[in-house]
Amino acid sequence: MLFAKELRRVVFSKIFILFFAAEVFFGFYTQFWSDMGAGYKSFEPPVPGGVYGMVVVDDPPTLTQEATASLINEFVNNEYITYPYGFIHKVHLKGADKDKIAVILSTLTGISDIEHHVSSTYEIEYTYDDDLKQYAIPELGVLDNVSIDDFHALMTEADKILGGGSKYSPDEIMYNFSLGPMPYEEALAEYNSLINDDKITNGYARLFCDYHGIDMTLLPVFLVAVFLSSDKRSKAEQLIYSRSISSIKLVSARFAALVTAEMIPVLFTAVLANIRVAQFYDPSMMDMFAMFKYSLIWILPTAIAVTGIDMLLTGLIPSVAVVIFQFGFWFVTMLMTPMRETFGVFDLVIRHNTEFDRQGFMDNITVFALNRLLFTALGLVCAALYVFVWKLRREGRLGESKLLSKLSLHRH
Amino acid sequence: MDEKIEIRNVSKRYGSKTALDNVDLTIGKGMFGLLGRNGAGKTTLMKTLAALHLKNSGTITVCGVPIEDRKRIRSMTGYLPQEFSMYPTMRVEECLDYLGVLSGMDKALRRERADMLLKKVNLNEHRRKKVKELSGGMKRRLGIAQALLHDPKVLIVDEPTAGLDPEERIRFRNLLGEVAEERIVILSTHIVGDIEASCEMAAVMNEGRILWTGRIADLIHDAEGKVWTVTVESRFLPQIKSLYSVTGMVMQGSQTTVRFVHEGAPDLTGAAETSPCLEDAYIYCLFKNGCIDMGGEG
Repeated sequence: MLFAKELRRVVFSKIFILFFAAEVFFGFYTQFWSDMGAGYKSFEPPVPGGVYGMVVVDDPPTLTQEATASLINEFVNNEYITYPYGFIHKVHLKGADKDKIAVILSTLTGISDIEHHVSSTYEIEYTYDDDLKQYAIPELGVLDNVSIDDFHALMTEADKILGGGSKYSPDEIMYNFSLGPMPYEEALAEYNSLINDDKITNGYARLFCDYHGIDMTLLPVFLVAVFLSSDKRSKAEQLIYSRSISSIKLVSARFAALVTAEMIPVLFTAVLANIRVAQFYDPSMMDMFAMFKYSLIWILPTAIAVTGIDMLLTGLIPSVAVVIFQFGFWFVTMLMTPMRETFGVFDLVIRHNTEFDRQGFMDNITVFALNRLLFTALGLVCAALYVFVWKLRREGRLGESKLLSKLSLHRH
Repeated sequence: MDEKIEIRNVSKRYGSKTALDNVDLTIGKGMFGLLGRNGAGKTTLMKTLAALHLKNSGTITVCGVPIEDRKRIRSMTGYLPQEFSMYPTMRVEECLDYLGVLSGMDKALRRERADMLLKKVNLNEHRRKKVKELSGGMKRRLGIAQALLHDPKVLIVDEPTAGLDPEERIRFRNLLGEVAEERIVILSTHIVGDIEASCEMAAVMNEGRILWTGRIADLIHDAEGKVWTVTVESRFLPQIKSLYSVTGMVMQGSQTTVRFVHEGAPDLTGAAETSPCLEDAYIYCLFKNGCIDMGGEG
C-alpha cells in the first residue's frame, strides 16, 4: 500500500518525467535505436570476401614489431601518451627513467643508441606539433633471443616506468598492436551464434544493457535527490517524522519505489527494442523475453546500487554535493571502463558494446554474476544505513550535529 | 489510563545554549496554553513532547507512557508543526490518505476519519484541491485534520494562528476548543488573545524556563492592582515608556491614553487603577520575574 503511494508520488513528479525522457533518449534512442539504423550495420549472414571488422589475433611478430616501433617513436620524441584513470596524460621522462626505457629498447632491438640509430636510418613519416616526429620503422624487429614472455615482461616494465595506463600495459597491448581483420569463418560463426544460441535478442539485449548501464549510473541521482528532499522542501518533514510508521518501513517503501520507477524507462524501451530488432530479423526466431531478462539481471542491480548509495549520501550531505559526486564518479568510471567484456567484479558499469561475442561474455559470466550480486548487496547495505541515518534525524539526534546540520538538506 | 502529561525537571541544550531549563509541568485534559516570546523554548518543548527531539535530562510521561517509547507516543500524539505544509501537488484527500497510511490506519478507517474531519474543518468541498491551491487558513485547517486523523489522545499545535486573518483565527480557535473536549490539547503561541479566548489552563515560558503555570483567571488575579491607565499629552509618551511597562496606547488627538503595569501606585498625576486583561497579566508576569525592565524592554 505504502509502496504504491510512494511509487505514485515518484512517477507523477516532474523530475521523473525528465528522468524518463533522458533515459529513453540518451540510454536508448541515440544509441540502440540509432545504431540499428546506421548504414554500417549488416543484418545478413556474412559472405566470403567481405570486411567483418577487426579482432585480436595471435601474431607475435606483428605485435612485437608494432609495439617496439611505437615505443621507439615515443622515446625519440620523449613524449608518451598514457591514460591513467582514464584521462589522457603526456609523460616526459628524464634521468634514470629515460635511461631505463633506453635499456628496454636496447634489450629488445640490440641497438645501444637507439635515438641516433633511428634518426640516421629511418625517414620521418610525418611531423606534428612542430617538433614531434613520427619515424617509419617497418623493418626493425625484435631480437630472436627475446621470447614473447620476455617481450611482455619488458613492455609491462615500460608501462610501470610511464606510470601505468599506457598502450604497453598487459590489458591494452594486444588491442593496440595485435589487431587483424576478422576471418570469414569467425564472422560466420559469430553470426550463427547470434541467430541460434542467442535467439537474436539475447545478443541485442547485451548491447541494449551496455547503453542503459551507462545512463543508469548517472541519472538516478537526480531522481533520488529531488524525491528525498521533497519532505523538507514541502515543509512536510516534521509531519512525516511524527507519524507512527517505523523508519525501516518508510525507507524501504521509498527505496523500492525509486528503484521500480528507475526501471520503468528501461522496461519501456525493452519493448521498443524488441520492435526495433523485429524490423531487421524474423520475429519468429527472436526470444521475446530476452530484453526484459537482461534488464533485470544487468540493469536492476545498477539501479539498486546507485539508488542505495545516493540515498545514503543524500542523508548525509547536500543534494547538490551528491549530484556532483555522482557525476564525477560516473565520469571517471566511464573513462576507466573498457568497452570490451573485460569487466571485473568491482566495475559498476559493465560494457559489452556489441550484439556479437556471446562466447566472450559467457567466458566472463561468473565475474558478471559476482559483480551484479556485489552491487545489489552494496545498494541494499547503503539503503539499510540510510534507514539508520533517517531514524537519527527523525529523533533529532543527527540534526544536532552542527556540521551535518549545516551541510544536509534534511537539517532542522 | 492516566490522562495527563507529566514533565519533570526536563532540560535540553543545543551545544552551549540551554533551550529548556528544568521544565516542570503537568498538563491535563482540555486546552492548555503555552505562552511566551519567540525563542522562549515553546517549540523545543512541543517537539520534545512529539518525540521529535531528545531531552538531555528529566522525565516525561504522556498518559502514563514514557517519552522514550517513541512508537506509542507517536501513535497517541497528533502534531501540527509551526511551519506546516504538504506536497504541493497532492490533493487534500490524498494528503490525509497518505498520512493515514503512515499512521498505520486501514483503508476503511482512513476514509471514515478523513470524511468526518474534512467536514469538521470545513474543507469537504475543497477535498479535490491541491495543497498549493489552499489559502493559509485552509492549510492550517488541513493541518488540524491531519493531526486528528488517527484520533490521538494528545494534540500538539505550535503557533497555529500565526499569519491568519482575524476571522480564520477565531474559526481555528473554536475548532481547537471543540476537539479539546475529549483530549489533551497543547496550544503554543506568542499571541495572548489565542490563549485568552480558548484556554483555561496555561503556562508562561521565558528563556527555557516555566515562569508561571496555573489557571488563566489566577494569572489575571495576580495582576490586579498592578495595571494602570493615564491620559497624557502625546509628547510625554517617551518618558512614560521609559519609566513603565506599557501594555497599550490609544491616541485621541494630541492626547494619549496609556495602559501600563506598575507595582504599587505610580508617581503620575491622573493615573487610575484598572482591571487587568490577560495581556496585562502576561506582561506583569514577565516584569515580576525580571524578564523585562521597568521601561518595558526585555
